[in-house]
Formats: sequence, C-alpha cells, structure tokens
Amino acid sequence: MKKIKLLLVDDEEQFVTTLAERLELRGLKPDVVLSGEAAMEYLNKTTPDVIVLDIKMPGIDGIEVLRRVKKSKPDIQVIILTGHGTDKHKEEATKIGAFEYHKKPVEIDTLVFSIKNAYQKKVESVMVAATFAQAGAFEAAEEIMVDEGLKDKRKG
Amino acid sequence: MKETEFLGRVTAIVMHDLQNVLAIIKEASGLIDDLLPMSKGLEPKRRDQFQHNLGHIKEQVDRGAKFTELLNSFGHSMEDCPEGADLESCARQIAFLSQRFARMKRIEFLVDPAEERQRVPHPRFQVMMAVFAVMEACLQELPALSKVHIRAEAVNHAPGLCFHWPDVLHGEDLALPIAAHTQGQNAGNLPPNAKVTSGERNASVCLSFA
Repeated sequence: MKKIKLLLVDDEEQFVTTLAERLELRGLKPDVVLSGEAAMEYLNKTTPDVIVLDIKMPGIDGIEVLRRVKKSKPDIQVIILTGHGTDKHKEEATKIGAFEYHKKPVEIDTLVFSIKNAYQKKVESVMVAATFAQAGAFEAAEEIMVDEGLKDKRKG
Repeated sequence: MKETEFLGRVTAIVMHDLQNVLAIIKEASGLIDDLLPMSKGLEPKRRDQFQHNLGHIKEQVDRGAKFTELLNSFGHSMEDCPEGADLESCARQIAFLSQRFARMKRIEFLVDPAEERQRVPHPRFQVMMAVFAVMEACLQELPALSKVHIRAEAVNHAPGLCFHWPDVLHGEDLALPIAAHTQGQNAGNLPPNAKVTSGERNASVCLSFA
C-alpha cells in the first residue's frame, strides 16, 4: 500500500503527539496541527489522503473545518475523533460527509483500521473511475468521480 | 436558561475535558505498551509487571470512559428533547451511574431488553429521576444480595417500567412498602404524571407515565 498522507488535527497537544508516535510505530507517518486555523493553512499547501479531526477546538471548530474541506477538497476522507460525542454532532458530521465518527478514547487498532478503510475507499473510487475512463465511458467515470467527492462538479 | 439546563450543560462540558484526560492516559500508557517489547535490557519478570499494570490502567480508562460517556449524556438529558425519552435507555443509564450506590447495599439492578419500545413525551432527566426514586425504595426495602430486573413494558396501556425481584423469599410482601416510598409526602420524587403501583406479577412494582 502506498504511504498514506495523514493529518491529525487536535488542540490537546499531549494527546495528539502521543497518538502520532503510536501511529508511526504502526507504519503511518502523520503530520500534526493543533487548531482549525492551522489545519486550513496546512490544506492550502498540502492535500492529505485522510484527516483525523477533533470537533471542539478554540477558533475554527472541527465541524467548520470538515465543511470547508468537503467544499474545497472533497476527495479528502475525514475521520472525526472527539471527546464531545453527542448524537447531534455525529448526525451533523455524517451529513456533511465525514467518513467515520469515533469517541475518545479510541482503541488504536480501531483507529488504524478506520484510516486504512478511508484511504482504501478513496483509492477504489479512483480505480473504478479509471476503469470506466479506460473503456471510453468518460461520462460514467466523471459521474463516479463527482459522486465519490473525487471531482468538484462545478469545475466540469 | 433553567437551573437544570445550566447544571446539565456544565456537567457535559466537564465530561468533555475528562474524556480528553482519559484519552491522554490511554495513549501514553498505550505507547509504553508499544515500546516495551523493544526494550531489550528488561528482565522478563519486570516486563511482566509493567504489562500487568498497564492492563490495569487500560481497564480503568475504559471504565472511566463508560462513566464519562453516560454522565455526558446525563448532562444533555436536561435539554429539551422533542422526541421525548426512551424508558429502557433511561433505566440503563441511571442503573449504570448509580451502581456503586447499589453495590454498597449488595443489590444489583439488571435492565432486561424490552419486547416493545416504550417512549414518553417527557425530558429524560425527569424519567431518570423517577427510576432513581424507585431504585432507592428498592434499596431500602429489599434484603442484601437481591437482584432487581427492570424491563420497559406497557402498564395498564400506559408506557412504563416494571421492577421485579423474583429470588427474594416472601418478596411479594415488599411491593406495597416499596410503592409507599414514592407516595404521600414522598410523591415529590416523581414527576407529576408518573406513579408507582404494585405489579401484576408477584414481587414487583411498576412505574407508569400518563
């Protein structure tokens, strides 16, 4: 599997740096930012495959980051990892397009499984679209890309 | 903002912080657990001691996480909820949160799955308060080592919860005293539209909501 480009966003520094170390021991190499603003700055320069995102953060909160990501770079898969787990938040995050929703504290293996699944989903969608494109079915390929959030409909 | 709402909101905020505290402990102890097999100079006996105690930390973090999750939900139960309250889920929540209280009397509350979902158009905290009042009455009247089964079911066509203690010798004689704890001057422990009566089954009382 290609190296997954992973971003962790959480304002709890001790939590997120330790989590990053544990993920590194499992073959992932995440980048870490400590706020919603820092996440938006990071996304201006880089496009990760998967983001693990907290909800309750000072400044731009996780729901707003998710909304902006899904608008500007819809191909990025976002996993919510929060200590503020209400059904209302879960419903809202899922509606905006979060790949999965976990409550803190989470088992590391559960999180790794989620990250790999999120990446797999992105890759599979690209491959299906590529197969259609190779067969000359460009409209079908484009439809899949738009449906899966891999292509912005407005760009045509 | 109502007083109950204020208390609920502050509880939920603190629980959010506590969930973060538990998450940090879990990740830090998890990292030690990850690194332990890589430390070559460690005696096997010491390694076992580390692993054994890391297991305790993990167990207690998981236990704490369950409490904070339910207490967070309890905090939010003060907020108005248009869809009302699910009786079984309220019973499960308050039975879990007050398990230490019950353990001191060596009594166990077990919530059995309902055959049919029972909902009432009241705030969840009111339902939990009523369930707690019946649990307290059971703790006062039932002998140690009793097991009380709680199940959501219709009581005289109204949504309700039945409390049943099948293994207590002469347990049927205790239904009236238990119900009495929630009547008369103690009726204030129940919301106005709730009442507790002896159950149709032996050794049981039912809490119903109009």
